[in-house]
Amino acid sequence: MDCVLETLYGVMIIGPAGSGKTSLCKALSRLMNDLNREVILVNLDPDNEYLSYQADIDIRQLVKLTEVMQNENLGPNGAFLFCIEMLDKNFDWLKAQIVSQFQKAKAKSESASERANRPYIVFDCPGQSELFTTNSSFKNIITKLCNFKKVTEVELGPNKLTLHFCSPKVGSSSMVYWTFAW
Amino acid sequence: MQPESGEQFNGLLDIRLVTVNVVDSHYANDPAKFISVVLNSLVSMLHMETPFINVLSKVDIIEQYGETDFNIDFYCELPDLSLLVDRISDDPFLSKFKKLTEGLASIIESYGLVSYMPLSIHDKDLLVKILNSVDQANGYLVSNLNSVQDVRNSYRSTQADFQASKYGNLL
Repeated sequence: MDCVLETLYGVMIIGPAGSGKTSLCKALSRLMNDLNREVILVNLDPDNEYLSYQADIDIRQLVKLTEVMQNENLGPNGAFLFCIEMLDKNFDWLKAQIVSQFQKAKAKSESASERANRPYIVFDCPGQSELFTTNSSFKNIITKLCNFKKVTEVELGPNKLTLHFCSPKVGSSSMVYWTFAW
Repeated sequence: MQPESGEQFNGLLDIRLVTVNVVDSHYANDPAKFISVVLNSLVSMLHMETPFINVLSKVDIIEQYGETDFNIDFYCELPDLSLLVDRISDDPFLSKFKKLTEGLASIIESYGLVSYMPLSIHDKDLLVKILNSVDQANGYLVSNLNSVQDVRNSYRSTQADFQASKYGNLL
C-alpha cells in the first residue's frame, strides 16, 4: 500500500440512562492515561449539561438539546432524535474533528516517548435506548465511522483471527460483525 | 481548535470501534426485568453490528434494592434462562405471561450471544479486565505485536485461566 494507513482504535459506550456510562468513560480514560495511551474523549450526549470530564469533541458545540427543544418546539425525546439526525447530516464536522484530534494526539504521544502507544477514542453516548435498537441515524453514524476506510481485504493473519476468538464473549459478537462487514 | 480539512485525510484513517453496553446490575433482583434487559442487549447487538461487549455495572451494590436469586456468575454467563422463567411463573400476577416469557427466553437462548462482564467502578481489576476485552475486540491488543512468537505469547496469556480470572474474588 502506497499511502500511510492510520488506524484509530476506539470504544463506544452505550446503555440506558443512569447505568454508569459517563463514570465508565472517566474510569477507562484514567486507566488508559495510566497505561500511557493518548485518549480522545467524545461526548455524543446533547443533554449532558455538566460534564464531569473534559471532552475533546463535544456534540454540544454542534447542537444543544435545550435550544432544539425551544426552537423546534419538540419534547425531550423528539429533540434527542433531532440532535442525532443533525449529527448524521453534519457527519463531516465530526469527521474533521476526529481527524484533527487524532493528529494532535498522535503528535503528543510521539513527542512524549519513543515507543509511542496508539491513540484511543472513547465515545460517550446518550441514554436513549431506541438509538441503539431501532434508530437508523445513529446506525448511519456508526457505519460511516467504521467506513472511514473501507475494509477491502482481510488484513489480519490467521493467528490474529484466532486471538480474537479465544474469548467466547468477544468471539461471538465479532462473528456477527464479520458476517456483515466482510 | 481549528478543524483541519478532513478531505485530504479521506480514506486514510481506519477507525475500529467496539461497543460497550452498560447495564445497571440492580435489574438482577427482578427476573422479569432482567429478561427484558437481556432482550434489549440482544437487540442492540444485532442492531449495532460492531463487536460488542455487555457490562453489568455497579455489581458491588447489586443487592441494594433486594436480594438476587442467584450468584453474580449466573447473571453474567446466563447458562439457563429457564431458571429465571420459573421464578417469574412463581409470581401469581406474572404467571399468566408464562408462555410469552418462555418464548422470549427461547429467542434469547437460540441466539446465544448475550453474556455480561461484571464492573464495579471502584474495583480496578474488573476495569482492567474490561479494557482487556475491549482491546481484544477491536484489535488493539494485536496492533503492537510484530512477530509470530509475540502473537502466540499473547494468545497464551489471554487464554490462561480465562474463566477463573474473570470473576476474581466475587464468587
